[in-house]
Amino acid sequence: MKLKSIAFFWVSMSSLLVASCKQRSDDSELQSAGRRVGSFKGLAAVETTIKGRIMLPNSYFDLAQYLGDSSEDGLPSLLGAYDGRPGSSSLQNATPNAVNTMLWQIVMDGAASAIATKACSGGNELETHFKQAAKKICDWPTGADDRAQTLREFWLDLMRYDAPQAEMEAWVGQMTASGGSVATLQGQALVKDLTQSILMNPFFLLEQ
Amino acid sequence: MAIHLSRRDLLQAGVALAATGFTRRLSAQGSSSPHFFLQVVMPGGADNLYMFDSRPLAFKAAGRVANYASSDPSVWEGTNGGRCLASPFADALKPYKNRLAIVNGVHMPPGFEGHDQNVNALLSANPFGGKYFGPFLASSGRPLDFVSLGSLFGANVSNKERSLTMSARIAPGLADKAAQVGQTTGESPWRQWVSARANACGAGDGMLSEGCRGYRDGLLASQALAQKLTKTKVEFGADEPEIIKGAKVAFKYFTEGVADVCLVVADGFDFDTHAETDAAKSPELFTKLFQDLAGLFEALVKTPFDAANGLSMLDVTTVMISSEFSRTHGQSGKPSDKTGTDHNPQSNMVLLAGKGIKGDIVVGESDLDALGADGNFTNVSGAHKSLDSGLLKRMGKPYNFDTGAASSELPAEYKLDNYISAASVINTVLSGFGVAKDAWVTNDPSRQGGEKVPAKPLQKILA
Repeated sequence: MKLKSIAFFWVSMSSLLVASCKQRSDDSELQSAGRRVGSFKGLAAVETTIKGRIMLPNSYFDLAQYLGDSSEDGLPSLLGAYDGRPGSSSLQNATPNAVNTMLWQIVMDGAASAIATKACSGGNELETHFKQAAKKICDWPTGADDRAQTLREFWLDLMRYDAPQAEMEAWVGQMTASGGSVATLQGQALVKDLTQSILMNPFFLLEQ
Repeated sequence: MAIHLSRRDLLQAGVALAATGFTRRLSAQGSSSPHFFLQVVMPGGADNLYMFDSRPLAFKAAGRVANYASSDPSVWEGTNGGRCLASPFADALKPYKNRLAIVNGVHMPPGFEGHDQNVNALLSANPFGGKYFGPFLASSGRPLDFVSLGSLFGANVSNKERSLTMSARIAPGLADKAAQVGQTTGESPWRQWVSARANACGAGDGMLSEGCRGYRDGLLASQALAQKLTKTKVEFGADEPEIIKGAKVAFKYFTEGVADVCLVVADGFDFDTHAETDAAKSPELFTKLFQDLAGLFEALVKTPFDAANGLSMLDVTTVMISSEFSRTHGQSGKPSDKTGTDHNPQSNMVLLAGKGIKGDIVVGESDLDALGADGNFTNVSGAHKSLDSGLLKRMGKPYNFDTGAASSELPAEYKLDNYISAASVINTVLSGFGVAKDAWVTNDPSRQGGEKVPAKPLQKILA
């Protein structure tokens, strides 16, 4: 019975997702902002999102540092950036391809590493709720918390509701499975891997 | 950081790369023979009066043509009997005359005078934009269809999913970052998860799913790309021109298999000389331009592609150089020694060179090339007057595609198919790469229904 419910939930969510894709395909609001469903959100937008969700106000957080280049027409421009023409709202290099995907991996590797370091060292730049969830994970395998529930809190702090709930449950299932990240990694390495698996999720990086 | 690819990943990546959906080069055409395409665009509307479609200073004295050069042009004659008047600035390219095909009198789509519309026409033959012809020249298996070194802001290109727009100056940094990816190894559980989710998300038919598929393919191909990019480190000299920087990067990308097609934007020139003060600076502007172009050809000739077989980059690369349009003979009501110039899409100029192109060739001519005793232009067709009653715009003469010569006919009515057009030039390049005709472009891309007939290519300049 439980399996049936889960299957129904997955099918429902998948249908919703497909329907959502179709409805969004002519999203005039996105298009008028030069953005396109299915394209990368761009470095600036992603940085703002991460800061707003897990960092305390006025904390320093700069994704471009992981590219070693913060100039507007430099490497960050390859991750989805406005073309710089006065009055233009065209987002360049935002369609996913091998180059921008490679650079997103580098950026998110650096970001996840920094977040994991802060989280496991009790860094006071992190937002309180996220810091508490991350700290529990840092301390695994000690601690008596409900791991699946802690992972959900961690996911929701970073992803919020950008992804369907089914995506979160699938993530929790994958991470806690035998041979998954929770079983194979610990401490800072685990937090980094979990963070990167969320930050690199298409629902986090791509416009919807 | 860690990027680990299984054999299955690599197989999937190969399938993804192979299934990009373009009518690419015919494999039978060139077997595995390398063939690259380097397009140099001079944005802003470079006046071909200062290049290879000049006019004698006597035309200025007669008050007909604004010309800020201080000496007369000279005759530049091709081995095919075609000829043109080359400005004094163009002398810098004389050492490469035997490799150059000059195409004058190229009609951009009539009725469209804007920069963006004509840039679109230059790339796709359609003033509203569409598929850039560059990706059709790429062989399958390259990580990117094309790289634009510099930005053509107004271009509306619909097939740029697997492309990159970047300043040439960041290429060294990109190579460094790629090396960072390539040097690290090991397992990364997150990556398998993300690849699986991108695959699941890509199963639908909406735009998000389309993006997820691109993301999945990007993840799969990124490791192989990183290995290629690692080898593309270039060094730039102090004050090196953008054209040369772009060419250096393009050569690396060609050689290392990153892309077969690069578009270099010749930034740093103010060709849009509406103001008299800007037009008056044309001699300095074109002196610098031709210095840079000579530097480009020097680099093409001197950079080895396959030293063992004596092949230079020019031997394996088709080069196309042009602006989106030319400029008028002046502005209405202003004296020819004190005027700016406006847009003229009726007679563009294109330089072609390199692999597949016959050198020392001149094809196409423009009108308004003769003055009567009264100082007025002679031999002006009704077709010209219907488009430009003020006779401020040189216009390409009709062209006989069979003989390869400009026609002296003076048609009463305008019909684009009788002239060299942007579509003709594009189809010439497509033909030179052996691209199947179903990818060729037409002079009338917006026509609804009926058979779309591709514009005739310039077969006479193809080797």
